[in-house]
Amino acid sequence: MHRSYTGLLDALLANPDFLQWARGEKPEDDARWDQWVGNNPDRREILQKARVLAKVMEEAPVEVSDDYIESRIRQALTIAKQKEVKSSQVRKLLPAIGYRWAVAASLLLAVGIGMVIYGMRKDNSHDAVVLAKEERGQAADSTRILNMDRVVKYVQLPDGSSVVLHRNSSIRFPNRFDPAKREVYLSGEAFFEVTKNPAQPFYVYANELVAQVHGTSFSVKAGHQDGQVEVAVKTGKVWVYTNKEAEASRGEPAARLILTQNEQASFDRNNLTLVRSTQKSPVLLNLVIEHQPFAYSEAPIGEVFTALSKAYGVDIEYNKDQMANCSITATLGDEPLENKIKWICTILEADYEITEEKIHIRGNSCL
Amino acid sequence: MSPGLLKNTDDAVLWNYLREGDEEAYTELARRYYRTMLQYGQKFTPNVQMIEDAIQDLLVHLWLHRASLNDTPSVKFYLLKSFRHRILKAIKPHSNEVELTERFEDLLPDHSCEDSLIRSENDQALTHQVQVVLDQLPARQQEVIYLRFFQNLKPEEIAGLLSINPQSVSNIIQRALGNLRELWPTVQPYALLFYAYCQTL
Repeated sequence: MHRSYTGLLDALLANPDFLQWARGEKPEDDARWDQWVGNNPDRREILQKARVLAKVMEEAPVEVSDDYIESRIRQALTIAKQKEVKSSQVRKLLPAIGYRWAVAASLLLAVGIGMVIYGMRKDNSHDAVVLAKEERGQAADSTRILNMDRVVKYVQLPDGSSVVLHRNSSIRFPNRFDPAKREVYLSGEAFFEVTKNPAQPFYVYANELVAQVHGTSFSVKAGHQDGQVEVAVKTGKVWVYTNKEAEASRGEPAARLILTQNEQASFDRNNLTLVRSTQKSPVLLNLVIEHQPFAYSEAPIGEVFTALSKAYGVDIEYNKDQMANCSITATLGDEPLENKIKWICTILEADYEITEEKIHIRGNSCL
Repeated sequence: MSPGLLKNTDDAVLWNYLREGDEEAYTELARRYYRTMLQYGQKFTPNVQMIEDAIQDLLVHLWLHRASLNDTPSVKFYLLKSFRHRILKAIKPHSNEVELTERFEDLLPDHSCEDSLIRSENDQALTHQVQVVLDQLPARQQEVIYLRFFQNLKPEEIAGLLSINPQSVSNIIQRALGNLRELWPTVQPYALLFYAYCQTL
């Protein structure tokens, strides 16, 4: 009885027809509700109470004018736009929706054993290229990070881009990128997620190969025993050319390969030429991060952090007890790690701090 | 989109425009839910400035993160949930929600005699009495009732908003309506006395 009483009351109060009638907007329904009550005293009571409740709920004295609301919304939009200009990092990058800024460039570039050996043999010429660049003042103050012992190591670049550095690999980059371009020097194997900035193209120099990100998402695989380097594009567009070509031509190298979605090319070290491959499915590296869409549906936050920690090779510390009940539904995609973290923290209203060794996250309970 | 067309466009459609950076869609959605949030906020604090700040933060956030917004089955739900988070955080930044929910009760504005007089003049004594009874319900029940019947959210949506399971929501609704029945103001003379008392002030 109790149950059916509350059940009926609930049903009535959620019924738009009833609510309209209770507010006096549908007097023509009088007979209908009369009929519904019939001779049932419980229903009579429920209907009466529901009617009063409907009136109580109708009263919503929110005393602000339309003009005021308009001005507040305009104000919010203005503030948002100012912030947008100030911080390029808040640009959310989701390739799926095709938004102008919504394209994260991710670059997977690897130089395997064969190439490392070769690179050592050709070390002088390689270094000469790098030194020549440094002498031109493009990398006066640079950082070099070497990963000797970990399976993967996370490195954050000055522009917020992510690098997942493999074992026995090293990367060098200026502490501050040149305003006109972002250049990094890789030895070994790494996965890149590059924040998009058309005004400041991103170059990866890997021995004699140059990969230039064009605001797109792609992968490069290099390093077979036979001296081949393979480049495979996941989405978007990327230019691949040789150092030699880059030196020879200022600006746009003439002998370059433009690779788009699902295209692949090989670099023949012996002939120092790039050849477009006819192979249909691109060769991608066997990296955890490579295959991970980072798509979560009501996933416990611990699971998400574990996945990120593993994929990027970075320790994530968070207040486990407090945040035990937190979960997220999101597709983090090809975002650089910091954007992923920032987004998660926005959803959970948490704070984060990225230090060299760890990411610290402090959030509240989601109960 | 023309203003007339905007008004008749579904939330979901506007939401998709917003995700692509359409300012008008953004403005229309904000327009639709501004009052709703303002009202919901008053369930947590009488400090209107705080509520408006929370709304503004949310609106700024919404625009900045438009490109990463997910498709949502209910814009209203999304906004209320996000707003709730913000207002609770604003009220007491470093406490967890359990404490805050308890505050929910304390922070409800009292129904003053002034209110009562206005209402009695409008001959809404019973309505007012029911309001008083509603305000006596435990905080959690009040909030669920508010979301269910004032905001017409589905139980599943309320569950998502409060991060509890849908069965709990149903139970809370059942309990609240049961309580409401027990506390239902049947004694009209009391109401009359109350108004008489107010009149003497």
